[in-house]
Amino acid sequence: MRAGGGLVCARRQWIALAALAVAFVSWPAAAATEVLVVIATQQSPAYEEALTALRARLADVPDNELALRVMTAEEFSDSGPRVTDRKLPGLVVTLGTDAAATVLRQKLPTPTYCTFLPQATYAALANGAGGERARLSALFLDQPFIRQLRLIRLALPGRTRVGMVLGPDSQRHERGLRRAAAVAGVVLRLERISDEKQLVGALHRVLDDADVLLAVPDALVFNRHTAQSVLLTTYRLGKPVAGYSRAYVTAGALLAVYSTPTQIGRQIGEELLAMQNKADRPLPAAGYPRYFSVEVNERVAHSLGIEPGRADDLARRLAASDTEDNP
Amino acid sequence: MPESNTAAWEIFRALRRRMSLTGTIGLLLVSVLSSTTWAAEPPLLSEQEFLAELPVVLTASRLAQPQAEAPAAVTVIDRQMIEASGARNLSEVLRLVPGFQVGFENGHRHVVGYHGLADEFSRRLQVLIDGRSVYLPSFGGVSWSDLPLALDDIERIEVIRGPNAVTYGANSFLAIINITTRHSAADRGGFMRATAGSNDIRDGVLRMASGNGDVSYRLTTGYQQDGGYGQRNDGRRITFLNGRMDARPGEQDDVEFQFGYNEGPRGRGFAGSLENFPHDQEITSRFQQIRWRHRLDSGDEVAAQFYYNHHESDEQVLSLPIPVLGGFQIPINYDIRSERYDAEVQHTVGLSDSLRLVWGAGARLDRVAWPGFLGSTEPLDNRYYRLFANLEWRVTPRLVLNAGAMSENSEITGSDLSPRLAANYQFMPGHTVRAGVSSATRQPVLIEEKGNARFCLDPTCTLFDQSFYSSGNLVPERILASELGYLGRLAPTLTLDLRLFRDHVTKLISGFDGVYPDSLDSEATDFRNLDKAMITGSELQLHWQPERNSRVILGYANVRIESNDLDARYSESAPRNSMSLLGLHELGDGLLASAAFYYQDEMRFVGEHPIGALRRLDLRLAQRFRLADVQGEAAIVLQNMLGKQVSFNEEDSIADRIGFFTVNFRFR
Repeated sequence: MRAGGGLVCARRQWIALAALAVAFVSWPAAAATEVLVVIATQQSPAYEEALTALRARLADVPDNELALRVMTAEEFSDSGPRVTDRKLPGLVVTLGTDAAATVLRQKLPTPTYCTFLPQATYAALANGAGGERARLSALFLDQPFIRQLRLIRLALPGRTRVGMVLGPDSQRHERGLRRAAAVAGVVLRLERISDEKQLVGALHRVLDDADVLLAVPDALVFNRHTAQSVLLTTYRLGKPVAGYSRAYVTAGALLAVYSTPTQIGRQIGEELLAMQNKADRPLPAAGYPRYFSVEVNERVAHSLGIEPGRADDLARRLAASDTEDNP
Repeated sequence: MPESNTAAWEIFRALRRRMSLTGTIGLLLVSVLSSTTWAAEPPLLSEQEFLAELPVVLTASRLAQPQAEAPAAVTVIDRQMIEASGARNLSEVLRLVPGFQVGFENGHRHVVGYHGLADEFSRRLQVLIDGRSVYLPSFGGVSWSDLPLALDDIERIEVIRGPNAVTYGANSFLAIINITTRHSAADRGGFMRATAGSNDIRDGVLRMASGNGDVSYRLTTGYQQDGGYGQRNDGRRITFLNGRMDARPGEQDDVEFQFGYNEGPRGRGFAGSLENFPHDQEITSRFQQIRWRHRLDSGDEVAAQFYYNHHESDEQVLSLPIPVLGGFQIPINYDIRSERYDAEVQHTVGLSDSLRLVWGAGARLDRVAWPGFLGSTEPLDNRYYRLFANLEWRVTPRLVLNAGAMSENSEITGSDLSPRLAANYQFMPGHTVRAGVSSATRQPVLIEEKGNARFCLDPTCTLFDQSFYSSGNLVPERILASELGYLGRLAPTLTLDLRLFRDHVTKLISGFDGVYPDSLDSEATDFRNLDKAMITGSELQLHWQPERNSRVILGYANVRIESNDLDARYSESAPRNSMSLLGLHELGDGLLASAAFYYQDEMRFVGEHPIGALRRLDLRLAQRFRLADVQGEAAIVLQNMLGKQVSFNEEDSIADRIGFFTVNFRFR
């Protein structure tokens, strides 16, 4: 009896919550919707590039009802909209971590679409934003594990043992990683470390058995400062690295799948256009980039005696396997 | 704790005390303080991680030549092959290399030859361990049993078939065996191995490895015992210790330090011999080595190394009473102490995207004290200098040229130049042909140049016998090798390496019976640049790996030697046909089976009796297991399963079946 009563009670709460969520998530229909785009204060051509691609995508639909207003995170802190304002923008789109953190700090009731930031960072920020998560969504910059593992399968068909060194950030994803590995048909060899000092040893141990190293960004393990250690150690062991950025490949990784700012900007534009066409204008679900590129370091491949194939061909085949998942 | 943090803690405590009064303000302050003073939260990953440019780490000058572009034929033996071979000795592993012969003169003197020309001391191969030459300057060759090295510490062995003085220095004559040990960060925690078997085999290895961040180290100690051939006094009880430390003092530097020590008695002599009766030889061998590698901002690299080798054999005996001398016992001094100091610097420069230069210089001092055989109680020195350069030019993406030379100067033989030229052309993806000409020299060792072995009857040295007397004035032996090679990936799991070779060896230093009237038999061994040999033939290596733990590796060599030699000592020193076949397969659940079969035609080591066609089969069955945090493997190895075989000399070097059980544990 008690269990049944609880269930009824829970169901009522759920309906109420759902109603609330719908009320918040949908964005009031108006003739022209003001979309406030907040970009990181830091000067980087990447944000401009993404913004240009976003504008270009919107311009593809000339009669769209979206009015873009752009400000930097600093301007937003100084003179951006506040909770107390009578008129708020219809939607806030943030580009980058800095912008997302600044906007979320204001706890505006406005729906907010955080883009161009790593998944782990979004998770941490959204967690900090507390009960207002319902009005939040995101477009991550990093790639889903399944896509990274599939690229390894496509480019290095004989190398089915993928080694990874997980730091505190990436350890949270272990379950997801294992699921992705099962789907992609690779065997994972994991080393977990909690300190950058353990990195070189962990690389040696994991590559004793693994055929290729998958580097996933981690504030501690894989970042700009450890790239040299990672690339030199793996190269001496004769094992290739699958990196996560174009720069990592230039530095010496064998290959990487990544999204350019233009690709991200284009997807933001598409999501905004899709939103305005729906009656309740829901935010898109938080997700990974739809468009991506593959880069291969031919010199490193050559030196390791590996023939991974052409980058554009790999990207096309990778996109095709994405489509199989979401027909 | 930094001062600012301590101060912040004080404020924090003070605020906590006043919390009831000024709770809100306090909390605010604390949150401000914590965000500025303490990095309590780990930093958030930023998109900059994906966007930021990185310096190029693997620059053109740091990228190694792929095997298909190497100016030489290379056989790689990796850890899995070493284990699967069932070898207990490093020398045995080399049976897997096409063109190699491995014979045991006795239980601890292993003879490794390539394309023949090897006697009891195989002097025409270079052997390097982590860049350190272990070639002995006294009687030449490598004393395989005396290396302070555990098979378990070896990462891989690369064998360069053919001369390569430009890259590997002096005496890189017929082939180069390049052994790389495991990086000290590769193993963390402990490792133990215990082995026991027939023929008194009792081995043990204990390794501890640790480290953190920029410094890692490893210490390995081991014991090796066996009864040799079992039919004579040639057993050994060897203890060794070695250590390796790897450090990265800065972003751009790597430093490696190694040391090793090996000692213990080795049985020598024969029953019935008056002067070489059964007795023990006490050998100690040790080394220290430091290597430093520095990455320049330009992407280029500078490397330097220094090492010291010390090898000592204590063996002073009194002969048994000699009847013709009325029962007099002659004192015999077999003591040898040889030392090598070697320093080298090397600079790798990327001149352009398609042009890379490696150049460097080295200096070496060899010091040998061998009173019984060099006729001097004072040690003899030989100073040696070398200068080398190699230019690698990628003419087109498919065509690579290598041109290089080594210039050397030795106190004994003066100056010599060894050039090399090779072209590799990829005519189809995965298929490369190679043509090359390479030359090298072999410096005479001290016994050849300055041998003077006297056996005396009294302290003033009334001569009883003179066994060596070198007339000196030797020049280096020279090899001019030309080859045609093919390296191809026939299928994703199948590679083929073919090589046709022609080694023209001149000025071979040969020992002969020189006239020495005062000697017992009026003769003493002398050495001269007497002979030449033309070695021609082909080699094949096939590697099939359908699964990660399933491999078949086939090696075959056909070798023909023509020489002006006396009694065919060189022409018959290599088998006409030889082959090795290693197969390994994981049967499932950590059960691994492997078998190695070797065949060679009749041959004879230089100065020895012929040995008939040799067939050898070794088997190994291993089970991996895990007990809580401990991983391990237990294996049973059966060697020489086809029964008695002459290994080196038909009189006293006959190998019989051997079986042993070995188990290892790895724990963190």
